[in-house]
Amino acid sequence: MRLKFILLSFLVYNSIFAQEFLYFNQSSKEKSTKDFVSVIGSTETFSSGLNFNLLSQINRGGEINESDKNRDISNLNNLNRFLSVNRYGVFLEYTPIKKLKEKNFALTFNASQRNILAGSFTKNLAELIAYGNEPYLGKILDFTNSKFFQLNFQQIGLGIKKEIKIGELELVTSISVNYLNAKSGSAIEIFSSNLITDSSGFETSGNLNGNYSKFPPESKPGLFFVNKGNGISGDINFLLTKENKWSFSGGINDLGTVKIYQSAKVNVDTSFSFKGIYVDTYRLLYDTSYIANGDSLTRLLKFNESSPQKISMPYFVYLNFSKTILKEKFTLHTGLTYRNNFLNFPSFQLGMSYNKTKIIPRIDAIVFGGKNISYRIGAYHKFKEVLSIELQTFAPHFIFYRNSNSFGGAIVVSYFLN
Amino acid sequence: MNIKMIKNLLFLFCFALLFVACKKEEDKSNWLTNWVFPVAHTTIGIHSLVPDSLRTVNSDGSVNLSYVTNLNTINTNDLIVIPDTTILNRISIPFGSFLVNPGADVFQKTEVINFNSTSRLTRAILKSGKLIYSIKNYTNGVLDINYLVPDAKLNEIGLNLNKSIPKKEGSIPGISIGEIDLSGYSLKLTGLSNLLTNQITSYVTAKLSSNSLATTITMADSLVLSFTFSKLVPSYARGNFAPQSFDVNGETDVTIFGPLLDGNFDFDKLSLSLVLENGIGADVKAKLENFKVSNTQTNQSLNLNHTIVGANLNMTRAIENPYLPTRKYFLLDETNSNVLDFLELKPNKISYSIQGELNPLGNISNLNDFVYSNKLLKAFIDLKIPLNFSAENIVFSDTATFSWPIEEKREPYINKIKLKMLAQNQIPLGCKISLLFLDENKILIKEKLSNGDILPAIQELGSSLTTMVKSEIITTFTKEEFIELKKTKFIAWKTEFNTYNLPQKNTWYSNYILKINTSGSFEYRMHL
Repeated sequence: MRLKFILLSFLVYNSIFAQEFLYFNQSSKEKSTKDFVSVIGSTETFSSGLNFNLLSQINRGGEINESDKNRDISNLNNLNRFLSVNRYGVFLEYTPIKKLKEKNFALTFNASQRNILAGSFTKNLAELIAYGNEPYLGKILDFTNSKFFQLNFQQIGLGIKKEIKIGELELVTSISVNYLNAKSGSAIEIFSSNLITDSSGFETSGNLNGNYSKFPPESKPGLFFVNKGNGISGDINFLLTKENKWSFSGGINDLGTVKIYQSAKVNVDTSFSFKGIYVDTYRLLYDTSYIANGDSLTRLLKFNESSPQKISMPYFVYLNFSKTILKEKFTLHTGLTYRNNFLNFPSFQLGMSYNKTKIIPRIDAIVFGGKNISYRIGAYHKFKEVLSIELQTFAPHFIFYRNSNSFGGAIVVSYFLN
Repeated sequence: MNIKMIKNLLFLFCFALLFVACKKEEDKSNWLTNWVFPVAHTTIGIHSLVPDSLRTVNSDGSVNLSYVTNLNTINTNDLIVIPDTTILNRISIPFGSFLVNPGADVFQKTEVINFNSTSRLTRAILKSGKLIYSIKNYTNGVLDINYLVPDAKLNEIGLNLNKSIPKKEGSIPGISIGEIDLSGYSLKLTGLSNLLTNQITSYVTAKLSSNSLATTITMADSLVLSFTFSKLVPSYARGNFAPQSFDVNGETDVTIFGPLLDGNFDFDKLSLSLVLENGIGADVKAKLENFKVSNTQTNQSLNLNHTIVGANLNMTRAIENPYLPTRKYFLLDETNSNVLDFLELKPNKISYSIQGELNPLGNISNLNDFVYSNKLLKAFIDLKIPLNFSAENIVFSDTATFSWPIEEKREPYINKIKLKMLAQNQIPLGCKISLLFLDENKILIKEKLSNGDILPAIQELGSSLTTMVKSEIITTFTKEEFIELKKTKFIAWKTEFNTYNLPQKNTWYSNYILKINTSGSFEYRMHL
């Protein structure tokens, strides 16, 4: 039994970096003859610039003072990226066809509610929000390449899993096709933009080239079953293990697009200079005419109503490797992940788990391409072959490193049907 | 459930607490930000005081208030009258009858037209007018009519009317009715002998149409012609204009004093140039009977007191080639008239009456009087006030619609708003700035006065040059004032100028300007 947990621990923590893997990995932990159902909830935020200290402050509430702001802003890169993913749902592995089971096939089903928030922002944009523009009079604030993307959708997927024995090695592969039902979303893309307020504050000028889109265009998202767009995505994963020695896994997930039926889209491409209202002083008091000079930004906006849009999902690719060391007391874990779209940067993880207890603990360090290293802890336990619980959290409050640039966690409860 | 299981569950519960956070609404995350934004800018100069149309700049850069206007006098309709003239003819054969072949002449008529004008005209070019014709054919054949007036020319081609008139049907004649626009026609009115006046000759020929059958014309057959020269108005006329008297009473608005209505100006000069111009090729004797200025708002008026009023002014005729009108100039100032008193009155109307006489000596030009409709007797005045003055409470303002720009939900997060004005003054007058907040009826809700004056520029003695002086003024809007200001629908910017060293007068030069830039700043508490 203990050895089995050791083996399982190879898999559990490789999934922590991107909790979407949990479905696959929970499935991978068990032989295909085992049917089970899992309930999954997860939230995860990480960034190349924002750190846990700031997020913790925001979460705690209260005043964020100047020294906190100074510290948080000083940690930022010129361009910072972030991703936040929330998900809750169920996963079912159930193979009613005996012949399939005998050939080591298993059928999978997943249904979940998901929300993806991703983006990038410049340090100048964060500075503007943190301090206002007064400290930057006479300086150019650059917002180029600041982007925000949010998508709220439901996912229902069907898949198939296959186990193959190759000598001492065991290969598990799976493929899943998911139907995506979009509920709401928005996107801001700033291709180029800067702002300067002169040293006296008498003139503000700059340019803005970008767009903003939102769907549904008219109001709030609506009920749970509302449908504002359809899409398809696919997940392909594999896991190669040599029992008690090492494992190697990889895959590509969320590869697909969502087509939005209707959206409100605003395109902006303008440069502007604003000196305030021009006071056309003359001698007749209370005349109502006046000239506004340079403040006609709105006329430059171009509105596109009801245009369908195709949105690419922020897919990710990963490769993980784990190896037992010190007479199988510990397992060493490494992993590399790359996310597309708004993030476009690789991240690297390195961790260790201890295999000699019933509750298997693990700790990892992750570098997200920013200046800070994030920490993460987790645990896995199985109750009498009936129920398993897996927990993980990023940079929890009580450990050590408040400048971690990720936070969140996941819980998976699985019930075995046979 | 054993002890270990309970321990495990407790551990999991504690672990799950990591994901739970409670936060009260009033304890949202917040931080302080400081914002600066441009509010307004303005440039006050001579253009603010006096519109372009009311100012002139002297060679040294000093500026005058200047107002030039024409006074109405007479027009050609009054001077040269060509009455409507109708030529009515019935043409028939005196006796017997004869057979006419197609294309052969049936009737012919030469007619001398005399215009019964009081003037003796030898030539006229028409600005407007028309020839109305009516031709009735009482014969049994279709007649081709040609009406020719060789001395009425348009582009060197004589007036030529060709019409085909149907034959009569029973007792009903064939008829052609119409009119010809005579605008632009030049009339030679000296008759066939070239020695007469007001006379022009016309020719009528009637032929049997070549498409008709041969027709017998009898004594009972006739052609009835009616030609009326109607509403002829010349743009040019030549001849001998009848001596005549005319009276002109006119009234005109005066806007030059508009910029001076508010506040107290102290000027020391005003001049009024009166120019009379005779553009007519005939002598004119004119008399300015009355010249009065009035302020219709105060119901005050003042008659001009100068020797020109009531005096006979003989204006000799204009010369035609090359054209040269004759002019008389009269300069009225404080030394020879009471025009300086106009400044007290600040009139907005001028009324006047002119009595005139054309060709008071009769025909002394041997039919060489001439007149162009756009070159008549003219009178115009040029009022000039050098802008050298001392001033009190001279107000410049602008008003714009306004709506409170801060959302109610954001108000608690703004402490106060500060307006900073930076004035760069090249004008040797100081001023105060204030912002007036007005309700929808433009009733004052609040006046925010600046807490400092904009200082005057330093003027170099004996020179138009000034040294620019900078002033910074800061006005603060507190949170308590937001409630009042939220009712504001209009906002007025008021700049009030005063001479600091009264009663000294300052000359205003065209390069004097005051630039004011205004920015706003506020603290905003961001919150999540």
